[in-house]
Amino acid sequence: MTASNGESVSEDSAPERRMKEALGPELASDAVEASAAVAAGPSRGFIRPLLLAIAAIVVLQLVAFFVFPPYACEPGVTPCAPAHDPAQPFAFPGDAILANFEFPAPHAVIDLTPESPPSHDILTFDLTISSSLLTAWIVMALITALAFLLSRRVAVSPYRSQNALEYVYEGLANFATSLGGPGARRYVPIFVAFFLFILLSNWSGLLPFVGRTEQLRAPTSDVNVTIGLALVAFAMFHIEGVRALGFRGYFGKFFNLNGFKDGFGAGLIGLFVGVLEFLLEFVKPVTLSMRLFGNIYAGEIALGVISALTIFVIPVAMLGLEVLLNFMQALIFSVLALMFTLAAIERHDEHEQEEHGAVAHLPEGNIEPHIDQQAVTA
Amino acid sequence: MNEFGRLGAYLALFSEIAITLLVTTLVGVLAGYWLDQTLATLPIFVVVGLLLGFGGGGYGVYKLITRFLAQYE
Repeated sequence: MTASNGESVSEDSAPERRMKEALGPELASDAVEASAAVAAGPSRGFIRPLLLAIAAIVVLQLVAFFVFPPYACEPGVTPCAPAHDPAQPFAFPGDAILANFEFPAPHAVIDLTPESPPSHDILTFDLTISSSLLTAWIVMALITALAFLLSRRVAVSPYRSQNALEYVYEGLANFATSLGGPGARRYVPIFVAFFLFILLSNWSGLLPFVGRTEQLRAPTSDVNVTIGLALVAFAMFHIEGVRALGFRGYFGKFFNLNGFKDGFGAGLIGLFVGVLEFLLEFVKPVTLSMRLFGNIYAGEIALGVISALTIFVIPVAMLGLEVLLNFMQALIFSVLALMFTLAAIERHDEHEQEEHGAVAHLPEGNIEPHIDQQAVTA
Repeated sequence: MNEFGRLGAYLALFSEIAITLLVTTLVGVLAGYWLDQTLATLPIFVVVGLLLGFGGGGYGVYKLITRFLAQYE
């Protein structure tokens, strides 16, 4: 449609015209845009980024294939070392599989005690800067640098960097408080720290060059790192338990002599159960560390073998699966660390009341009554 | 608790149940094997260790589930 002065004017539909008449031009344009966005439905723009990501992974795999080509294994060396004779033929698939096996013990990048030879014992103490330790330092430096850089410009109306940081932190904080109620807010920083460190450590092992260079290795594929994380969590459970309940109150949960009031037999059973629970506390660091180590270590080897045996579609699918599984393992570790800490700080009688249903359960871990109940009782 | 939180809690619980049973049984068997080697009574303490480990693991799983149900259901 053209105006009287010859300029073209866009035609408004009847609903838009009515909206403008009712709301005025400024509010009406916002309302029209909002309603158009709602009518258009959710954006379906994920297919193109997904295809681009798949193409990028395939290109990365090809680059890694040419930069770090497969090599024939030296006979007699376990699991596989590059053959000294360059003319030795590459035996597919045996050499491809063996080249991706790695020992659980990490490669020593810098040996701080070169005079002592490497030990083959299961438990050994040897001061080295290992590949997993080096990668762990890189991950820690990355997290610290990101947190520092993204928090430089802090304003009430946040910039993009602050927004990104707040989105990640508050998302994890809301998740933690949805699990543990308001009492979990105190432990949100350690929850976020565990989650981010383990997540980035897990994902670092999926980068092609980390898998193919001896100097870099996913930190959580090393049992030393996972045991370290589990011991930190274990120390936190008991230290927080003692802080919340006192030494006597906390260890009184395990070594409970109150059962003897009901008789010698009941007391003995109560004491036995308490001792059993105390021993089961020591199972927690083992389960936390071994689950994480087993998943990440085996996942790395499986991904390496699959990528060596096939080039295109299957390694991409395997990589996608590993990204998801590694995310879940980071989540499981941090969720369990949080849940065990909250269990450690609860009183023995609170726990018994919950078991026997004496405490009314408030919906979704909130401490305020549900809105409907408030309306009813008003 | 929102659905994502509930999913995360369930995931963690199921994962912990499986590995607790495994670890406690394994510890019981290894402890029993060590005792048998010391006292030359193979396989008595291996079996005893298996049963005790499995029983202890079962009790630990029971405590996990009841605590989880009390807190999240």
